[in-house]
Amino acid sequence: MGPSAVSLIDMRRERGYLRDLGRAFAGALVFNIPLLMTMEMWEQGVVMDRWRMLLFVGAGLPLLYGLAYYAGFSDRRGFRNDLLDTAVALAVGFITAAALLVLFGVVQWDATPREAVGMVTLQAVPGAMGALLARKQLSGDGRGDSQEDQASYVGELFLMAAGALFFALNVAPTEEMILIAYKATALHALALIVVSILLLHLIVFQAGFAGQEEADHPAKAFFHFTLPGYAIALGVSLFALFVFGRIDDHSVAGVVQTVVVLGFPAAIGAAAARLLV
Amino acid sequence: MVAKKSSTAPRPLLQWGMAAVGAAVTASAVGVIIWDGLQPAAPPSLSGRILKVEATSSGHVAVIEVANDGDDTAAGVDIEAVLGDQSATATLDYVPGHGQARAYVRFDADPRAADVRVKGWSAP
Repeated sequence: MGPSAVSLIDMRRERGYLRDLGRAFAGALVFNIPLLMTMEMWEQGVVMDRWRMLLFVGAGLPLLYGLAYYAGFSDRRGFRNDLLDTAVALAVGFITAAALLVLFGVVQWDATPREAVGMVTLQAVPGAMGALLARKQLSGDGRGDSQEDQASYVGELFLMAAGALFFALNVAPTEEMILIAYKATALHALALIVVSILLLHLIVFQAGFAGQEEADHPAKAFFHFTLPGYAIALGVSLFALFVFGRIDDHSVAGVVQTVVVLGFPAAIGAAAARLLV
Repeated sequence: MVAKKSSTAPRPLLQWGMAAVGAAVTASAVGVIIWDGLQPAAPPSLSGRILKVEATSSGHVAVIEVANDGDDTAAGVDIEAVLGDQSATATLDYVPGHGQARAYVRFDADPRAADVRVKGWSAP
């Protein structure tokens, strides 16, 4: 019972946090609406293998913590605060997803727990990502004190993975990914790889991912950021395709083709991570 | 390297509250998913019945409820209702495990006595 009752409930502090929370909900909406209105996401919520869904949530939790560390939606810092921010972001993600799926009539009142929990959980993770990115995206003064400015090399790679996952998630569940892979010839796939790496490299430079030292040596930055970034993009796209069952029963060549197709938006996402976070 | 900015200041109660909600909801969702994953997966077991019949200007429409007593979800469920020499078909996108979905078939005559059959489905 350290602080007195007066300092325990400080209305100004609560109101300030309410504003942060409002921004978090706005962020969840901005990032999650495309997914909330994607039919395949509803279907996957019902039919996805439960262990894959668990893998998806399990991979999402450390990712959300990482985003809370590098971005977060309040000014506060520290391990405990980042953990709290992660939990709050999940609350925001779940509430947003549940409310909108009910509003859209996708989750109906007589839905089984499997349906309802599956559909909402699948959307809550990207929603929580949006909530954590909200401060940087939606507040004019959000720059400056987020950790991302001092991100280490591993931190930069993590941010690339987060950006890649974010972009990949928006398209991975759709039928179009495998359709494009079916249409693509080997030549198309090779060209897509070249374009992905080229754009990744250019955007990394424009967004200033690479430090000044690397900027003076484009070749060094290419090996330091671009190639690892593309590898991360491919890994993330393989993960997303596996989670959504898009590569089940495909040949190795077919899997590679689809991974390369999804690797394109993932690479753009990895490159744009600096702009998002 | 973590800037401990204002981390010692008291936190808003709202943050604790929302964090508790988030932790509880996430833990429950994970719990339901694990519980669901541990259930033995029985193949779809589908049955259809006529819930009610509505007389419309384009004939009689029978509302069919297809229930799935199995654990696995059935996709592209084909339903056929037969009444005398007239038959009507409908396709349901999904019938979730231990759930149900509705389909509608049209007849010229009152189809209350129609025979409802689930013809086939695919794995989602």
